[in-house]
Amino acid sequence: MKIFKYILALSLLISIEGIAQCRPFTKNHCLPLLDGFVQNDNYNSATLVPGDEAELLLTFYGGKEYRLLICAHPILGVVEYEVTDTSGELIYKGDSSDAKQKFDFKMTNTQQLIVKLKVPVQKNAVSIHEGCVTVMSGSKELK
Amino acid sequence: MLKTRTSGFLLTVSTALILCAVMIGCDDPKPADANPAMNTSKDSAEEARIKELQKIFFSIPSPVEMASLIKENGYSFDKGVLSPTSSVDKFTGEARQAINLGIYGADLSYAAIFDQKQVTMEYFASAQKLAKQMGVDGALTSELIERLDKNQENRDSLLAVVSEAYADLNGYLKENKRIEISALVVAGGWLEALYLSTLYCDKNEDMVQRIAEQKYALNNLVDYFEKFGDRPNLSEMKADLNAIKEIYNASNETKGKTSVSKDSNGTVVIGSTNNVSISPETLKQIATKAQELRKKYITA
Repeated sequence: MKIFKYILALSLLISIEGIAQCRPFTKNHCLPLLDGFVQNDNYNSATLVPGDEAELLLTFYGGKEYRLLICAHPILGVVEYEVTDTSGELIYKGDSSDAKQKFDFKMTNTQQLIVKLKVPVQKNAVSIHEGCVTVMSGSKELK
Repeated sequence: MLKTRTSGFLLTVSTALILCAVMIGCDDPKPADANPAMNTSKDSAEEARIKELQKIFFSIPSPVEMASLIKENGYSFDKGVLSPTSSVDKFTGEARQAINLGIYGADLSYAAIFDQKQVTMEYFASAQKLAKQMGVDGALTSELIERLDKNQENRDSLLAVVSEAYADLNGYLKENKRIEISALVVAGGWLEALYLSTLYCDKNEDMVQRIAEQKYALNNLVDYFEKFGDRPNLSEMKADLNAIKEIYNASNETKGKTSVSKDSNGTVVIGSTNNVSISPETLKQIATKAQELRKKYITA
């Protein structure tokens, strides 16, 4: 019983840390979707839970075409995201569904944009679940 | 930079901590103090998790994006400007090794962009060797060297493999509780990309503009280092980044309006009247500082 208690406590603490092995998920489910865009070197993936909100500041150079990609494990449901400029003006609204998870755009000049994402709360969920969420960007030269 | 708000997560943490308290504490119950202690633990656990997430979600442009502009502007490849791979065994101390891993990564990108197949392979092997010395070679695998070898006739694939390798290294470090090392690798790569750019900025407005725009990445990087507090491993690079930031403070930055339109293919086009510029004197100071710091780091 005592061993069980400590195993349970340990597993809960691991969950609390919010870091899990999302690299296989990112490699297998997100990277292929960049398709033709060169991946940015930064890795932005973590285990999130329903209700989590995250915000990421990204710099995009002028004269380039970008693909911004949001991947979420299906167990989390559809993760919504918004792209705004640094003053909060909305540029794009999407979600992690196949149809809206990719946002392709061209930058005429360099600026910073903010990606905000939100993991939905599932009211009727029987158990608490967590899943990987990845924010990825890739670039290519404007032709 | 990342901000998080956790509402559903509160339920997770509360439930977890209640269960922990009940399961572990049932041998020695102390009901009177249970709630205050639990709230404190819950808050600190939540804060700790948010801080961890803020260290994971961070991004600055890749060295690839800087190096590609060098080629686009018609400059030729010059191996002599790269950090020598002969130094790979001489770097001591985890921080110095991590910074040089980032420097090799930027040099790798530069070589890959110029289709320098042998040089790319040479730098990848050195980066792998350095990573092995640090015990973080789980991402820079021999399988990647094979992929580089197979793809070496295709520049996009070469670049894609190099970028994928460094992104995976970044992920590997973050997932294996080596986030500080990851921060140093990113900073080393950024410094090398800045250094390389300063070598090509004479009379080239595009390069000068790109160097001016490094103000955004630098501010983001400095903020990121701040999240770690006073960590001995990070202190030297943190001070150096702040020294460069001091020079960038002389730049002129104007905040403008963002415009969004679509081109004839339906692709979104984002424009803005934001601008950042630097004077020739500031450019000179940035170049001098980048060269001085880079020399310090690559000198074993």
